[in-house]
Formats: sequence, structure tokens, C-alpha cells
Amino acid sequence: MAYIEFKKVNKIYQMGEVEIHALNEASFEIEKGELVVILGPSGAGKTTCLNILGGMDEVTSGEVLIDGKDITKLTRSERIKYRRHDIGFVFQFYNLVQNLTALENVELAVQLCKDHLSPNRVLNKVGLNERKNNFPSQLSGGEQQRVAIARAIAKNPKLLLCDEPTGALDDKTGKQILKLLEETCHKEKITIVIVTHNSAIAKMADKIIKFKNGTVEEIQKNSKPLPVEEIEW
Amino acid sequence: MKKNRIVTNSLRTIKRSFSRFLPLFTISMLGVFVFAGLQSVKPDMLKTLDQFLDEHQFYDLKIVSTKGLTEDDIQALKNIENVKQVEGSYSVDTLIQEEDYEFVINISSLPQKINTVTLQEGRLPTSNQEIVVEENFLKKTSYKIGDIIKIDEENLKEKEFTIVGTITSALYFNNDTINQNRGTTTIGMGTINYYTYVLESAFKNAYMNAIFVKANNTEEYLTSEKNYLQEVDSLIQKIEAKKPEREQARYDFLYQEIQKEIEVKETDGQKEFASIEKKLNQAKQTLNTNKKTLTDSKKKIAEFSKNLETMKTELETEEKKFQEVLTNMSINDLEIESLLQKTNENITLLNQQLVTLKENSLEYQNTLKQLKTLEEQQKNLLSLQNAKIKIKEGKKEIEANQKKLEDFTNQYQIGQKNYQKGLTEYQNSMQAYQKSKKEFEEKINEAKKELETLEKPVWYIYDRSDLTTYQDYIDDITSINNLSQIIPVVFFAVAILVSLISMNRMVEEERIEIGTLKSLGFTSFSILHKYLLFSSIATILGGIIGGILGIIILPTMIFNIYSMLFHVPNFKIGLNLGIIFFSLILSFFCIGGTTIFTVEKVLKEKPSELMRPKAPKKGKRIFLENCKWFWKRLSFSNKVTFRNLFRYKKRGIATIIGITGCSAIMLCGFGIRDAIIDIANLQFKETFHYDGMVYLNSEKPIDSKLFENPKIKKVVKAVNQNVKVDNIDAILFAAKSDEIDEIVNLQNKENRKITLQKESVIITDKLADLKKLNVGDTITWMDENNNSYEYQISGITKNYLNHYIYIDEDSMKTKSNTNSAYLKLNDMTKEEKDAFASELLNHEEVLNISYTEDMLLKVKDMLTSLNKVVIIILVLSAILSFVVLYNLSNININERKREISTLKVLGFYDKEVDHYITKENIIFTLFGILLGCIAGYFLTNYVITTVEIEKARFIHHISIYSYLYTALITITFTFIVNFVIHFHLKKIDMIASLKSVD
Repeated sequence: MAYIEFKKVNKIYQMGEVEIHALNEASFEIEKGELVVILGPSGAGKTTCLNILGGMDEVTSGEVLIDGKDITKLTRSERIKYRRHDIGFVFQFYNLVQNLTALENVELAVQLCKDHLSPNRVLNKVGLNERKNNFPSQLSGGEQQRVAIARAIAKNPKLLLCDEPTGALDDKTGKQILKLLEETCHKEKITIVIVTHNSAIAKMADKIIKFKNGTVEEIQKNSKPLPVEEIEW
Repeated sequence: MKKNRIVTNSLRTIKRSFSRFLPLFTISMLGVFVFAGLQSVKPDMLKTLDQFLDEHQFYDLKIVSTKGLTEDDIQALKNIENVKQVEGSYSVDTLIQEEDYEFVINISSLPQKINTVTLQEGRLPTSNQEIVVEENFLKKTSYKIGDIIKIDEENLKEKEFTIVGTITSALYFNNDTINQNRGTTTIGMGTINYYTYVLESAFKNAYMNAIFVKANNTEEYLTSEKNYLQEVDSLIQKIEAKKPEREQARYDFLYQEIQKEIEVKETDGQKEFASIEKKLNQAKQTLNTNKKTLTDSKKKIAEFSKNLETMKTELETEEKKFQEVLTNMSINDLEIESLLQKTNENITLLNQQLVTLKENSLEYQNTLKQLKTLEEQQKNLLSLQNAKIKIKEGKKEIEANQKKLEDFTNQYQIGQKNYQKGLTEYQNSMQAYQKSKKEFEEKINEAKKELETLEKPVWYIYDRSDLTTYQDYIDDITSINNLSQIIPVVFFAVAILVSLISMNRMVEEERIEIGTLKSLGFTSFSILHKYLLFSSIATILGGIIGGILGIIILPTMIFNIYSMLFHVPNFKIGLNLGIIFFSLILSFFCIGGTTIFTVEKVLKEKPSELMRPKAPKKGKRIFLENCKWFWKRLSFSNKVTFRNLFRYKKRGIATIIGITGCSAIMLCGFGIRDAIIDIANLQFKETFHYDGMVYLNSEKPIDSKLFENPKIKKVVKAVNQNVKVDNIDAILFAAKSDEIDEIVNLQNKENRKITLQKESVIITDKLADLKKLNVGDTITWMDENNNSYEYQISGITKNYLNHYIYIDEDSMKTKSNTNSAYLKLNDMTKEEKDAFASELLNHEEVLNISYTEDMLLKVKDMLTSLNKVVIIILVLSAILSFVVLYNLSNININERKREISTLKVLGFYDKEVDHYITKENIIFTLFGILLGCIAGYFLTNYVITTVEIEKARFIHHISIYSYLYTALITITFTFIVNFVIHFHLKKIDMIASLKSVD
């Protein structure tokens, strides 16, 4: 059995009288320690999929098994607990708490779980040793995203979910961030799911899941993922 | 018509941002509600009272005289210019005694023109045997309509009256819920309990007790208006001008009347005395006749007795002779008859012999000789027999006469006794006659002397403000009005803050739109226009609703509270458009002003700057972090909270100020309660130590045994005088300096005892404050006869109600008679108290008695009504604090949606998210409460000083509980808001808010 099983998931948004099928019988599997890229155009349902994986959204029907546990059956507070202990999130717009320094942002996440990593060490790892006492407004976009990743990893999650992590960054910085994610996946053995519309990024993935109109169009296994440095876009 | 899309945009904004519209609307509603509502109270209540008074044709002036008033007075008053109506009134107070209770009723003549009554039930009296009573009379006694009240009153023609209906009179619109008090009287317990009316024709009085006057042109003005006072003052002056003439007329009339009365009495008396004298003379004559008769009979008795003695002597002599003869004959008186018989027989025998014998024979001769001797013997014996009978008869006669004499003597003695009796009687009645004649003459002389010193009648002219109830009503309204000038200021201040924050947030959220519009070439004004329209609609709509609700609800509520004190029906809600308009402008000025201020600030920025999203507020280290010792000890989440506190300074300050304002008002409400709630206790328990006060008639001698009663522990006699210190009414209280401590607790501000010294006075603190007097200064006052007195102040004593000047009795320049006595009593039940009171009132010199306990209840009752005003203040400030907290919290959440979503994604539990946000609220609230208590302290002092009535000293001390309650209520509201906020937080959609760029 796979580490993550997405089984015939439907997600319907009720917008007034119009029903929008964000996900339509979407199914896929992810193995433990895999770096997966979910690819697709805007509105294909990839972010919805990520939100469901992260316990931020509920399914209309279907099952989502993570490590054998069906997260669609969780109650509200169980879902918060799931987010708290099992999930790390990285967003396009970093979503750092402006009022906290880099270190404090990591500490903010860390204070939630017992089995966490040392915030200082994690910030060292993402290369922010010098800047950990700066506020987000004093950091560049790339640095802020590093803090966001550090914050996500420090919780020692089972699953790291990244929603367009490079979307707001230039190529160079974006690559650095992807590199960091790749290293994290391989060194820390954390399963990572990256959602993007940039197909170039897909080359670094172990598995590529392509979304279109709410359904999984194609699942590609990449036996030889390219190192980030070699990817060009 | 070209459509203005800016307006479309504005209207759509309002529709969509209802959550932003609501606080502006609410805060404007509240501000105008409080302002317009409180402002309306005074005019509405005045108008209501005035209408009530007008409906009852309430008098403008009331004239009473010390010697009664007459029809002539009415005529004279009618002739005065500007007098519309004049009506006299007869009245009498009488004690009604029922089996287990007694009460005093005032019976007045049913007015036709002035102070007319309103019929509540039944009908008005149509005959002299009918009476109408106030409603409470039936409610509180066992009488019903149709029942008969027995009234024994010499001024009334009838003795029994049938109750035919109930009425209300505007003269008595005080609504005393504890005591049934319709004024004071000199009978019963000293209080009139109920008012009643009978027909004027039911009275026998020779004069009227009062005359009521209504002026022209006064009905159209409110009683408190300047115009009214002017009209009435000018009328008073006209009446004052007529007054001496009328007083003199009444004096002359009374003088003549009394003079006539004295004359009549004198003549009557003299006539009566003359007849008595005549009778006495007759009696004397009779006595004299009797005396003569007695003397005569005495003489006769003496004569009779003398005759009797003579007779006795004669008889004795004869008897002696008779006895001598008997002795000579040596027989006793009893043998006389037998001897005589024998002799007679012998004579007969001899005569027979003689016949047989020859004449001249010896024998014959012897026999003849014998016969002759016998015949002589017979003759002697016969005379003896006669003498014996005579003696016997004489004895009998003497005996009869003796008896007669005794009878005569007896009769004489009786006559003598009767005569003596008559004489004493005569002498007694003579004495009595002389005494009564002397007395009568004295009386007449006294009456004549009294007539010469007959006091001139004095007219007293009273206007409406002299009616205590009316004045109380006005004073109370003024207090409320003073409140209405302070509280709304705080409300509007908070309103400005809330709208400032709200508009600021709105403009911030729409900066891109503003930038777009600006880049499209719209003028600053047309952009401002939208926000101004938005806030104006919110303000004006809220203001109109608040204003309408305010002028209806607040005056009605306050009126209802006061209706416990005053029975004025039919509350009139005035449509005070001016007040609403003014408060709308005020509200608009506050909220519109802040709108312009905020928008102008944003409009100064370049469109390009505006279209770029505003960089999120930078995080900053706060000064507290420099204090390593403190910072290190904080938990991580507390550190975050502290940073956040300083991050959103503006909102934080607004929250703090908002809460400060609300809790200040709340504390002020509690403070007012504290200020008044204890006054009664402090005055009647701490300051005064007596249990009862007896009003004495200073012109009558006081019975030395009056206060010899086992129920009285201690008596202090005193002189009470009403005096004026400039325009302030005070009570001059004179007693012995060593006794005064027994009944009054004289102590200065520092709670140190002060004693009354010779030739100086102690005054009460409020009087000292009002007149700015200190120890050592000189105080001047005028007594009722306008004599002026000056004394040095030796002390200022704590006091709470009324103003007192304490003076040693011996130091008074004008000596006055004792007119009051203060009693310390043993514990008594209510029945015992009533009995004790009527026992005292039976004494002629006792006018009235009042128990301190009753006074205490009365004052407490009055103060309770103010308590309810406090509740209104509390409710309003609570609502305000809720609006402020809720609105600011809401803005807080909206502003920080992204941060909150991040926390949620990170896996913060709902509770942890709540804490993260509400901890700030709680800290702001605590700060607000702290500042509110400080601000409230000053606000309360200010409010109490403004609201404080002249006659009372409020307690300028806020109890610790008031601070606690204020804090607790505000904290409770914070928790309620936090609870509501919890649901808002729960509802935040983290996905949506994380995606967006803010």
C-alpha cells in the first residue's frame, strides 16, 4: 500500500446556484520519501488537491489515506491536530508573521509540537544563520521563503506541501529554493508535494501528476530526476 | 440622465460592507440616543408637568393670611389688573379614628375654577352630606365608595359624609410610597394623610383659609420660563401693593367684631349678674323675716315657760295646804272619799233619826248637834275633795303645758337650724357671685386688653415655586439635565475614536481602488465623496433612529422613575426636532470629520503608491526587549502578544480609550450611587443621634411633666429657627452647649470632635463651601423678621442634608422660647410609637412629633429613584463598551486575517488562535479599566459636583466595590466579545486569505 492514497476524490464548490467541480474522481498514490510535482494550468484543481492533502479543506466524496489513515473522516479538531503534527506548508507568498523575526517565526511553529527540530539548526540548514534575528520586512523574497521552508521543516512533518513556492521569486532565487526542497527531501526523507504550473520544475520530481479540469490526466514516474542545477526555464 | 458611477459605487459599498457600516451606524445611534434623549428629559418633563397643571387650572399665586380671608379680599383681588380668576378655599384638618388606626384628612371646599380636580371614579358631591376622596384613601383604608365617614368637626355643618367618588388634585402630585404625606398639620401625628373635598356649602367657617389666583397670559408659558416668572412677579407686586389695605381692612373688621363681642358679653354678663344680685337680696330678706319670727317665738316660749313655772308654784302651794289640812285631819288623801261617804251616810242616818225624835229633845238636840258637826265635816271633806281634784287637774295641765313647751322649743331649734343653713347658703352664693363677677370683669378687661394688642393680619403670597413638591420636581429635573451635559461628551468622544479606526481601516482596504480612481482622473473630492457619503448615511441613519428612540425611550424611562415620586400622569414626549437636529450635526461633525481626516491623509499619496499594495506593517523590536530580565521570563506567546500590542498602536489606543470612556461612565454611574445611597444613614444615624423630634408651640407654657415618660431616655430642648445666609436657607439650632453632643455629632473633616463655644457658632460644611467660609471667619444671617446677626465661626462640622448653624443657647442675642425638643427613646414597636406620639400630641403645647426613622425611610425612598438613573447610565455605558470592543476586535481580525490563517495552517487549535488574538483584547481592556477607573474618579467628582443639590452634601467617595463592579462588568463584556469573536475566528477561510495579496 502506498504512503498516500488519493482515491476517487470529488470536490464540489457550491457558488450560489452554480456547482463547480474542482476535483472530479481524482485518484493517485504517492510513496514515502518521494518528491512529487503536481502540474496543471490555473483552475485545474491542483491547489484544491494540495489543500485537501494538508487538511485545510474537506472532500465532497472519496478517500484520502495518509499512512493508512483516512483524513477525510477526521473531525475539525483532529484535522487541526493532523496539520499540527504531520504537515508542513510552504506558500507562494511566504505568509510569515510580520511581527516575528526569522527565528521567532520558526519558533512559533515549533512550539506546537514536541517532536521538532532545533529552530536554530534548521535556519542554519537553510542558510540563514546570519539573518535569523531579522524581521521578515528586512529579508528578501528568497530569504523569506527559506524562513517559510525552515518553519515547515522544523516541525518535522510527514509531508511537506508547497504551493507555487517559486511563484513570487526570480529564476535564480527560485532555483535555490527548489534546491533546498530537493535536499530536504533526500536528506531528511520527507515526502514533498510541490504544486506548480511551471512544467520545467517537473523534471526534478520523482513523480509527476498532471491535472486538468479537476481530474488526474496523467501520472508519470521519473526514474531519473534531474538535479535542480540542471533545470532550465 | 447621466448616471454618477461614483454614487453607484458608494451605494454598492454600503451594501457590501455592512459589517463596516454597522459600527458607524450603531455608534452614531448611541451617541445621538444618549444626547438627544438626555437633553429631552428636562423640556419633556417640564412640559408634562405644565400641561398637568394647566389641565387642573393650577394656581399662579396662593394667598394665605394669619387671620383668614374674606369675600371682600376676593373682590379686591378680582379688581387687580391681569388677574384672570380668584377663588377662595375653605379647609379643615380632622382626625379620623378607626378601631385599629387613625389618620388625618384634609377636607377642602371643592374648587370650581382653580385647582380643579379630576374625577377618577364615582361622581362629585352634590349635597352637603357627600364627600370625594383621593384614590389612596380607598386603597389604604377599609372605606369604599358608598361608605359613610363620621366627621365631628365644628366647622362643618354635617357630621356624616357619604363617599361618592375618588378624585385627583394637582395640588398634591407628590407620590410618597411609604408615608401617605399630604402636608403637615397640628393634629394627630402631625401629617395630613389624605385629601378630600366637600361642597363649599358644607362649611360653616366665617372666613376662607386660602385664596388662589390665576393670572392672565400665564397659561401659554411654561412655569419655569422667564416670561412666566415675569408675569407672576409683576402680579405679585400688584398684590403686594394692595396687601396693606386688605390687611388693615381685615384687622378693622376683626377688631370691631371682637369689640362687639366683648360688649355683648359685658352687657349680657352684667344683666345676668344683676338678676343674680336680685335673687340674693330676696334671699336675704327672707332670711331676715325668718330671723324675726324666730326671735318672737323664742320670747313666747320664755313667757310660756314662766307662766308654767308660776302655775307650778301655785299648785305646789295649794298642794302643800291640802296636805297640811290632811295632816291636821290626820287622814291621807285616799281616805277622803270613804270618809265623805261615811259622813254622808251618818248624816242620812242622823237625819232619819232626827225625824223620829222630838224637837228640842236632848236627843234631838244632840243629834242635831251631831248632825251639824257632821255637816261641817261633810263641807270640809267636800272642799278637800275639790281641792284634790283641782290639784289633780292642775298637775295635768302643767304636764300638758310642759309638753307644749318642749314642742315649742323643738320647733324653735329646727327653725334656728334652717335659718343657719339659709344664712350659710346665702353667704356662699354671695361669695361665688362676687368671685365670678370679679372674674368676669377681669376677663372682660383682659379681652379688652387683648383687643388692643390684636395682631395685624399678615398676608403671605406664594407662587408655584413655594410648593415643595413643585420645587423638588424642578430640582430633580435640573440634576438630570446636568448629567445630560457630561455623559454624551464621553459618548461622542468614543464615537469619534471608533469611527476614526473604522474609516481608517476602510480606506486602507480600498487604497487600490482609491489609487485607481485617482489615476483615472477623478478629483480628490469625488473620491472623498464616496467615503463621506458612506459615513454620512451611517451617521445620519443611525442618528435619526437613535434620536427618535432617544427622545422617546430615555425621557419616558426617567419619567417613569420619577413617577414614583411625583404623580403626574400623561407623560408628553416632546418632538424636540431641534435637539435631534443639533445632535445629528454633532454626530455628523464627529464621524464625518474623522472620515475627511482619514481619506485626506490617503489622498495625499501618489496614485502609483496607492496602487501598490501597502507593505505589511513592519515588525519591530519593542522597548521591553531591552529589559532582558523581564523579556527572558516571558513565554514565547506572551512575547508575541507584547509585540503585537505595540504593533497596532492606533487600534490599541482606540480600544484603551474606548474602554476607558465606558468604564469611566460606568464608574461614574456607580459613583453617583455611592454618593447618595448613604446620605440618609450618615445624616440620620451618624450625624444626628436623636430618635424623635417634638415641635413645641413656643407661645404656650411647657408642661413640666411633658417629658416624664418611661419611654424617653433623654431630652434636649432647643430653639430651631429658619434663617437666611444671603439666599441660602439654613436652620439656626440653639441648645445648651453641654447638651448638644447628646443629639448631634459635631466633628470636623478630620473626624475630630468639636465643641460649641460661647459667642461663636459651628456651621455645616456644605454651607461653609457654598459661602466660602472658614473657621475664624464671620458669618451673617437674617432671621424671619429680617434682623441681622453676626457671629464668628469656631468650627465646621460634617453634615449631609440641609444647612445648620449651631449656637449655644446663652449666646443668642435675641432670646427665643424653646420650640423643639429632641428625644432619645427606648426601643418601641410601631404601635407603641403611635401611642406615644398621640400621648404627646394630647398636650396643648405639642404641635408635632417626627421620628428619625421615618425621616430616614423618606429620604432613602427619594434617593432610590436616583439609583435607577444610575442603572440607565450603566446600561448605556455597557452597550457602548460592547460596541467599541466588538467593532475594534472585528477590525483587528480583518486586518490580521492572513496572520490568523497562517496560524491555523500551522495547526493552532481554535483555542490557541483565540488566545493569540484575545489576549491583546484582554490586556487592552485591563489597561482601559485601569485608566477608566482613574478617569472615572475625576468624572464622578465632576458629575457629583454638578448634580449635587444645594441642600445636600453628596459623598465624594467611590466605594471599592464600585471599582470592582466596573472592572467586572467591563471584563465580562470583554469575555462576551471574545466569545463572539471566537466564532468569527473559526469562520476565517484560511485558504482564501492565504492566497490573496494584502
